[in-house]
Amino acid sequence: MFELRTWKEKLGFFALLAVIAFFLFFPVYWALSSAFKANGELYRMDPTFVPHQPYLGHFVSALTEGPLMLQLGNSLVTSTASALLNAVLAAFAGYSFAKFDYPVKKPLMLLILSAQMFPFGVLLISIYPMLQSVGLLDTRVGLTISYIVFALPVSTYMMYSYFKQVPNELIEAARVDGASNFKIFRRIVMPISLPAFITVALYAFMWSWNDLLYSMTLITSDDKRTVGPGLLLRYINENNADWGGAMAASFIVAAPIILIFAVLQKQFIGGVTSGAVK
Amino acid sequence: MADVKLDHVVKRFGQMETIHGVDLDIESGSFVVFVGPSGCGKSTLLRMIAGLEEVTEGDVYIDGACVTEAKASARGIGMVFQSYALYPHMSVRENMSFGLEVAGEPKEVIEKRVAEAAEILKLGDLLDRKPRQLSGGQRQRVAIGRTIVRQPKVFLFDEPLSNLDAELRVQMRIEITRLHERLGNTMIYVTHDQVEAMTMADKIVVLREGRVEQVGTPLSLYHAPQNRFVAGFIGSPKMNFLPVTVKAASAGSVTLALIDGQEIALAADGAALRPGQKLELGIRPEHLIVGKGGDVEISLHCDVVEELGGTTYVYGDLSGHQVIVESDGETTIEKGKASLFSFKKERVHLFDENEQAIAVERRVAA
Repeated sequence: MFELRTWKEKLGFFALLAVIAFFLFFPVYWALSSAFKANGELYRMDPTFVPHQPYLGHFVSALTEGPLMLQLGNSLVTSTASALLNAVLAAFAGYSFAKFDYPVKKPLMLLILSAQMFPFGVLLISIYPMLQSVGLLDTRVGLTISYIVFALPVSTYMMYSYFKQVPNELIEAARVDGASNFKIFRRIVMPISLPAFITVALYAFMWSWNDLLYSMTLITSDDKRTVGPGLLLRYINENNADWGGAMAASFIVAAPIILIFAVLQKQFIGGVTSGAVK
Repeated sequence: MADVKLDHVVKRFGQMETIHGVDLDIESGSFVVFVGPSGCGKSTLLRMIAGLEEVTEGDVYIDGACVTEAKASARGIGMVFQSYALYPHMSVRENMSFGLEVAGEPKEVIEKRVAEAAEILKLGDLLDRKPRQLSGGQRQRVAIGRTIVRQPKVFLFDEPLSNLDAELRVQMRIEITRLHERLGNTMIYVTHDQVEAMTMADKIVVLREGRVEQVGTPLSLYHAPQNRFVAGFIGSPKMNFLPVTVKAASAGSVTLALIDGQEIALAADGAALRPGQKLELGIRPEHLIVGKGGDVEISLHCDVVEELGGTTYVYGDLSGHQVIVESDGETTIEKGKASLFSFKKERVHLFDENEQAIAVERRVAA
C-alpha cells in the first residue's frame, strides 16, 4: 500500500481519479438523466444536464407496456442457470487440473483455453448447427448451453488458479481422515473456495445478462427473448429510436446486476484478489 | 501399537531416484526420529509410510501386514503435518471429529473421543473456536488431537514444530514426549533439528541423499558415529574436523601428524592404514579443554568468543582450520590472542578418505 505524502502527490492522485471517474460515470449519468427527461426536453438542440421537470413516463411505459418483464424473467432464468452450471463445471474441471496428475492434463488445459482464443461470433457459427441438430435452437436450454460454452474456459482457469493455492496438506489430511475424493472436494475444498466460486458465477451471469449476439441469433420466438435483444428490437430499430424509453428500460435491466454486486461485493473482490495476497 | 517395517523401499520421481532401497525395522511402541538435512528424503519416506506417496519398489509393512498398495486411511496411521493442515472453515471440535464422522462412528463415540483428546491436550475451552482464532501452539495441539481421536496404530509427525518459535518448540517437544509416554503408540517423527532428534527419540535414523547413514539410540550416534556425516550432523555445535597424516600404523596403534606438526599416538585399528595416508580427526567442541588437562595440547588463535552465560563458545584457528570450543561460562578467553587447549585421546574420532569411522579404542562406551 503506497502512501500519498505531499499535497502535490495528493492533488495529482485526485485529479487522475477525477478524470477516470468522469469517463466512467458521465455516460451513466447521461443515460440516467435522459431516462428522466420527457421527449420534448430530450430532443432539444441545446441539451440540459439536469432534467428541468423529472419525468417518470419512460419507466412507467417500460414496465407496463411491452414484454420487458417477460424478457427479464427469461434473462434471469438463462443467466442464473448458466452461471450456476458454469461455476459447478469450472470447479470440477479446475480442481482436476489443479490437484490431479494424468497424462493428457496439459494438452487438455491448452485445448480448453484455446476455445477462448476464437471470437465469440466464430464460436456461434459452430454452436448454431450443433444446437440445430439436437433440436435446441430457439430454446432457453440451448441458449444456456451456448453461454456456458463461452464462459467455461476462463472460469475453469480462474478456479484452477484458486485451487492451486489450496494447500495439498489440507487434502492429504482429509485423505488420511478417510475422506473420498468427492467428499474432500465437497466438505473441505469447496467451502474454502466459495469466493472463487461466486466470482466465476458472477462472471458468467454478467456475460449472459449483457449478451446480445447469441440471444439475437439463437432465439427467434418473442416469448423466449432475453433483455438484450428485447431492448434493441423494441426501442432502437430502423423505424424509430426511443432514447428515453431505452435508457429507462436499461436502468431497470441493470438493477438486478447492481443489486447482486452490492450483496456479493465482498466475495467478488475477495475472489478477484485472492491470488495476489495470501 | 504396531511395528513398522520398510523392505528395500525405493522412490523415483520420473527418472530421478530419491530413496535408494531403504530397509528399516521400527519396533512397536518406539519413538523413532528420521533426521537429516533438507532434501535427504526423510519426509518422502514418512509420506510413503503414510500412503500419501506411491512406493516405486519394495514394501511397507504396518503391524505385520503389507500396506504398500493400501490407501492412507486404511493403514491405521495418523499424521500431523508441518503446516497443521487444519480445516479452516471448521471449528476445533469439527476438525477433530471429521475423521470419525467419515468413518461412520456413532455420535456418542465421536463426542466421547473428542472430549478425551481435548482433555489430554488441554483443548477443552477451545473446542468451538475456528483455527484462525488459535495461536500456533494451540493449532498444533488441535492437529495432534485430530490424530489422537482416530486411535491410530502409528503416529506420523512431519516436522510438526518447524513453524513455532523457539520457546514454544521446546514446550511442544516436551508435550509430544509426554504424549508418547501416555499413549505408548509407535511414533515416527521427521525433523531436521538434531536437538529434537536427540531429546525425543528412542531411536534415530540419520538420512542423507535418500540413504540411511546410521540407525541407533541418540547416545550411540553421539558416541560412536559410523561415518563423518553422522559425526558432523549429531551434536551442536558440530564436531571439529582436522586433517591428519598417518606416520605409522599397526593392528593396535596409529601414529598421526596433526596440522600443527605434533605427533600423537592413538590406540586404534590401523591394520588397513599405511604411512602417508590422509585422514580426518574429529573432536567435539565440548571435549576440548581450556588449558592443560588433556593428553594432547594445541594452541588456538581465538578470534571470536561468544559468552552465553552458562556456556562460552570460542572460535579459534589451528593452522588455517577453524576449531570451536565449548566451555563453561566461567572461562575467560582473550580475543585476538593464542590460548592453550587440550583434549583426551579417548575422545577423538578418526575417519578415512571414504568418510568411514576407524575404530579408536578407549572411547567412551555408547
